Amino acid sequence: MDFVFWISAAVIAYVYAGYPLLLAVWARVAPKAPRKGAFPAGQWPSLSVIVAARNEAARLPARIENLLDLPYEGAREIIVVSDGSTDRTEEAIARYVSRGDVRFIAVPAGGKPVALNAGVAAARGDILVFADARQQFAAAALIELASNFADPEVGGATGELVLDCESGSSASSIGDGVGAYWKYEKWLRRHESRIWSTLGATGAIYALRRALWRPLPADTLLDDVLTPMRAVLDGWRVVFEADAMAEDWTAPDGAVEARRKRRTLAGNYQILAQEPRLLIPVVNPVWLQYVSHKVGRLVVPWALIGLFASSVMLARDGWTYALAFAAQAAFYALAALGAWLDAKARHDASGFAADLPVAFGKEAR
Amino acid sequence: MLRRAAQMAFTFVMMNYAALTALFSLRRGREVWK
Repeated sequence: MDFVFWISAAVIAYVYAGYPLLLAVWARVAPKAPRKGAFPAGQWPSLSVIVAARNEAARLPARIENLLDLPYEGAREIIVVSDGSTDRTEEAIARYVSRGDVRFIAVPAGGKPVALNAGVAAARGDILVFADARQQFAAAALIELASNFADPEVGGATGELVLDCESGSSASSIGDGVGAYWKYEKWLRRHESRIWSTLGATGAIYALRRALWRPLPADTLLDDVLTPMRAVLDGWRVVFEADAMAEDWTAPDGAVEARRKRRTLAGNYQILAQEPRLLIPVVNPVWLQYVSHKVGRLVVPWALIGLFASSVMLARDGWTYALAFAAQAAFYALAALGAWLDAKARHDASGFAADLPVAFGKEAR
Repeated sequence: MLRRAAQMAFTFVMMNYAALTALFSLRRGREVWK
């Protein structure tokens, strides 16, 4: 049982402290900045911005306006792919299509990967830029993303998704927790990019050389990890571009965030089946980072269980184990308080909404 | 302060619990639009 305790503790400590420390040192000792730069006038690569959407008629006009307003010297096209929408999406963006600002493709409902495949098949740009209907890009996003492709080693560039909870302006009942996690996650990505490559991208804002695209299997959960990692496995690097920002809001409560997280982590399992090469050190150029970061996230929950169970059983065998048990008990009690606060906030919000006239229901959420 | 710490602890536990349940929800993944 001692073995379980110490192995579990070591795994957790490495994933959440040792690996970040290793990254910090690595990025300081052997940084490898991308040779990012402006292209000569008239030589900026052409962009195909692809927005896959299902029932986003209400958001798409603002999304398209945002994409059209972004400054960029090269050619750009915007492709909206409707994945079996039933909310008159086509009508909502008809004026942009008739003006030639947007190309519209409708495919039967098949999921985001199928929609992306259709969008990329129709794309003509040198660089694919992926965007969702919900977010807005900051003004410099296209220029900053494209500038990275001046480096012939760069195959992809991911922007930075900024959540409202990071600035404390979110109404989410778990805003502080998600904000802290997201800042930590982006710190890892930034440092992984500094030493060679990130381990994926942010689906809401990333760019890829069109030549590197490979059609996605229809059941893919994490297109924004599978696609960049395939490029990395082929020897390209995918960089984190903090000056290309997209803004988004935080999940309103723990239940919504848990569902989103479950999907992401299921995708991390799935991707190991889709690309088992990721687990082979010689083949995957970022093997150590991948195992430490992505696989580590899948292993830590089991280590947490192992640590707690072994602490319970060893608590009478020494003060180290007793202390570890007490610390975990206090931590989980704190988490239970957080869960109660989240449930209470959700309950209060639903009650509040029910008391309001219909017109105010949306604001109350 | 306590509220913030509770939120962070809850988020950490929830995310790790999600990794466990993710194994069992793989089959349903395609139904969820990202």
